[in-house]
Amino acid sequence: MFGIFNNDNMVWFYAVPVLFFGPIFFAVLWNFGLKTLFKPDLVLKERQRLEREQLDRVNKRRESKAGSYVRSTHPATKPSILWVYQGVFYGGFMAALAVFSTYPPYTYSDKDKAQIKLSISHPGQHVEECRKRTSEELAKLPPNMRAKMSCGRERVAVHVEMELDGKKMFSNTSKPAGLRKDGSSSFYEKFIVDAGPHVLVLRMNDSPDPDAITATLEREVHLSPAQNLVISYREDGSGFFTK
Amino acid sequence: MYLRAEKGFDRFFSPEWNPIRQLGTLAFYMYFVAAITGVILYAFFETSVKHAYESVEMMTHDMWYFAGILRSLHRYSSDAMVLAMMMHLVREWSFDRYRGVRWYAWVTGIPIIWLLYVSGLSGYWLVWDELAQYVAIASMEWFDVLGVFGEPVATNFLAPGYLTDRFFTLLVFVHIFVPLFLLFMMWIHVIRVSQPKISAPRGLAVGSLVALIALSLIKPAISHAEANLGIVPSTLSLDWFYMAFYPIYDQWGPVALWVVAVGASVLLSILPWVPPEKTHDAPIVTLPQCNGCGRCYEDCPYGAITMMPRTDGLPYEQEAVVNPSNCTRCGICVGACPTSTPFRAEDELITGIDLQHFPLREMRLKFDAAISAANGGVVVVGCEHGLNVENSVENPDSTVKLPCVSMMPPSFIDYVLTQGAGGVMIAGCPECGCRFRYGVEWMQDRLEGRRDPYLRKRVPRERIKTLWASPLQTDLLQQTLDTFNANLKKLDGEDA
Repeated sequence: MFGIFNNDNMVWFYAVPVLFFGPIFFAVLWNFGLKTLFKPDLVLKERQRLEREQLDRVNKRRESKAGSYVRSTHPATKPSILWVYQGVFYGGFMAALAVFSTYPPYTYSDKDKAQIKLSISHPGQHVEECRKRTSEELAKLPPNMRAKMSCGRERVAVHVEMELDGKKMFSNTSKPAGLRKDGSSSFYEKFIVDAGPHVLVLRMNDSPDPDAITATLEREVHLSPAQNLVISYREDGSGFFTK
Repeated sequence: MYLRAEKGFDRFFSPEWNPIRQLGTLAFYMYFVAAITGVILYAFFETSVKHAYESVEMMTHDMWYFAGILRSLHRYSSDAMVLAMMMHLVREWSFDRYRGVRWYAWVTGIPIIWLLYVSGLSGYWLVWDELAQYVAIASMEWFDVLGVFGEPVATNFLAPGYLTDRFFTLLVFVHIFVPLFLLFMMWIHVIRVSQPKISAPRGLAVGSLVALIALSLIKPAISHAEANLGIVPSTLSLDWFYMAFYPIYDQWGPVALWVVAVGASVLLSILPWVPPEKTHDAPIVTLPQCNGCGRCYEDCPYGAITMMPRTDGLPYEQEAVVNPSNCTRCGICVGACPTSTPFRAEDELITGIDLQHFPLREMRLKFDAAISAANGGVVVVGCEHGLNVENSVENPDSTVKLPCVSMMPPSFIDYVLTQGAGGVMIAGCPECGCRFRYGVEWMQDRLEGRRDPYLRKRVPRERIKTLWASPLQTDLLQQTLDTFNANLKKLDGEDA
């Protein structure tokens, strides 16, 4: 089919794991109860012997009228009937697993719907512009930290809006990540919409000016049924894109 | 309801093989079935985005007779583990076995639920079909809402080409290491009890494995269509054992589901103290009576007794020390102590280890009263959690109720019979259903000469009867008592 499954030594492909792991699995299984199946230990044998003896005593007691010291828990039931009941239980156990492992089916989205996923991770502009340090400021700094330019690390929060067919679907402001607020602002949202043609409008503001719009996209998209349309943002200058 | 089910299943399976009495061991067993099949399947699995689905399809269809069956076993055993775990939780809660010293097992069980779900769901990701796509994306989105990752992890599943082999390999590692951590937590879960039962009884192990293999042949586990991040999966066959929360997630959103999940976990965690269990003072060790034999240490089902170097100068190596925080006050240690004998004068009736709220002296007084009330008949000994002997027999004054029947040392049977009672009937919890885990087993072992302290040879065995039955089986108690009385009368006639 592919790669390793096509080679001529396929028998080794199956044999090696079985030969290598097989003894390990067997040892694990053996210690977790298999040994009691094939080679009951002495305590278990003794216990089984005593249980057999007790059973004999029960039968003898029934036959001879003497009372005896026995465990008495449940009325006797024919062994063949017990197997049938156990079979019914295991049948029910199998049915429960078979049914609830796949049924009832769940409809996440109708077949005539599509999904738009907005996923943007973009750093806002710096809160303060870089500026040149004065000679007094430089003198106060340790010699190894006397960079001429002082640039703040903190970035502004980014605002993103999305409209679909003139209706505002999304409007959110995301703070920059990080303790120093110097990371990217992230947006992740998904929308189940009707398949078909739509007009998509996106706006972003990543500047300190609250009224500015620094990036836009207006595009007509045709969504197929079950399509997953991704909207994201490239840092190479091309801005919003859909995929 | 649970008691009725247990009673019914006891008849068909015997208590030892009764699956609803063995839910913890069944969960362990299912873990090992899933683990072993998983390791073998890994040998055939390709850990790349491109070939994972193909390799699973190859296992399912081309190698259906081996890897296909193993895959189905892997899935169904993990489903069965969820089923066993949830029933185990409900059972312990409904039987009030989660408070007091049992808080530890209860609370450590909660991370097990989380780890089992992460283990199972991460396994579904690896098939890399449409179901895996849906589950992986929803799971990542759910975690992303916590904001602990720099960028949303769900962006790894945005569109075709976004998911890398490197990230996919990380998912494989999640499915390997979380189950290992789950096993570690399962060990922590049982670490405080002595002799934990983690090996499924033979009949149950064979029966459930045969059932799983049969199910794997009848309804093999199959995949959905291959994952395609360019489309949205429409209708999915969810594994409801693991994925019942996903429709809730779709409807309510991630925050609400976190509130439900964390809220439920916190609620379960505090449950043992709402309200806290009322308990008596812990047993006391009377060193002049303790010879450090260690029988109480061996019999304590909760590991509440440790043997420490002697501190009182008596010529014994060790002495018993009780850890009150592990002790359930069941009194099994009193029944194990060789000095707990009623054949002593009143002022000497002090044993090596004794319950403070129900000392040996008081126990003998109760037995004396019951012997007197029995008037040559049967003294019935019951426990506080099994059959209610006081309300179930015609002569309630001839009964003695103990915290656990195993608190009674076998010498008390000798005492009761030598003091004039016709017989002794011990009616405790059902086998494998003892509230204190080993009370029934230890008592049976002591009577049958397999465990110290033994019942003396001179005691006529035909004048002793044990009845291990559900609290619901009150009719059986009276029936058994009537039959026992009739047999004793015949014996008395023969003796005469």
